[in-house]
Amino acid sequence: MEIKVQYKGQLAAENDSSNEIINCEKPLSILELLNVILESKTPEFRKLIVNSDNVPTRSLLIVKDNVQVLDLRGTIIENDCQINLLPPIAGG
Amino acid sequence: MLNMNDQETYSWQIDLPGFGEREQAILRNSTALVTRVGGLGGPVAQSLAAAGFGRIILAHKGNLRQDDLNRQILMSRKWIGKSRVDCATSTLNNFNDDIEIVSHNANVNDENIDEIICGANIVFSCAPLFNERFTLNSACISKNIPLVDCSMYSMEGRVIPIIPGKTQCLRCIYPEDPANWKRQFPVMGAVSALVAQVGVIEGIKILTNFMSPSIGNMISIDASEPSIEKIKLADKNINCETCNTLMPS
Repeated sequence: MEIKVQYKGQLAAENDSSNEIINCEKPLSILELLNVILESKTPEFRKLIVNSDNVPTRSLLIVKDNVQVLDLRGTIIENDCQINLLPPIAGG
Repeated sequence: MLNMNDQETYSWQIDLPGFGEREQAILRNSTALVTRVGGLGGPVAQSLAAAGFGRIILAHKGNLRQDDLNRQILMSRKWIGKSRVDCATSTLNNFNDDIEIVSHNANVNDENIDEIICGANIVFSCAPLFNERFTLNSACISKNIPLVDCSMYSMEGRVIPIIPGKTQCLRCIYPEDPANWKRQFPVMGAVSALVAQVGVIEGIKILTNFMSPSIGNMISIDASEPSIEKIKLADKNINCETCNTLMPS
């Protein structure tokens, strides 16, 4: 399956691209997807996703096919989908 | 319900299907608080004035700088070094002298929020720092005032309509203080104005019941694509300490 990941806000600025395609052969949870994403990312990018204990920050808005996801372990990706990662922004 | 002057001024708006004199009268009798009058708050305030809100409260501390001018459309070059909120008030009064502008040369904080928010029927949060946004959020929830949280970064923007007791509040969405947010951020003025207009439209919908406000959703705007998407937010967090300050009606 193909997971289209879209990085928003500061995540897009820290990454070379605001989009990434991740191909997986078996279902995976959102938490597992975050770990896959973080394998190849810079420390600046990582700290927008996880805290110093490697736990996803609670203020990162995670969206699957335009619906907010709260249960990172229990939400399983089984089909093609789009995941948006939105760190908080407050620009005024 | 409307006097002849308002009927003339807002005649093109009153012609909108579903938006008539009743809705215009609601705006005329409404007070909106706009916190900060910069890249987001400036165009928010201007469109509220154009729409015919009867009273607009502005809060913004500090003086105009040259590097504000790419986005702060209520300002003018000759005001550099002078109070931003005074310049915004002057611009709005020139634009529409039939509405009341109340200005505070102060940013919202825990000490002044009760005074600044007094009388507001709706609040537009356009501050560049999260502590201000969370202060506004708490005040709106405890006083049962709708809040339209508008934010932007680079070519993106977000608008979150928050209805106390019904939707997630800003603390439900961002339970932790965002540690990595920086005061200075990249911004194109046209994008902040775009986000502001979406916020104003949502605010008018909320107050007047005109069409369907995006209650329970975040509107995500990406001007680089360009795209505008609605993101369905989770239900309000029953354990949120801020939401639990709402007084039962």
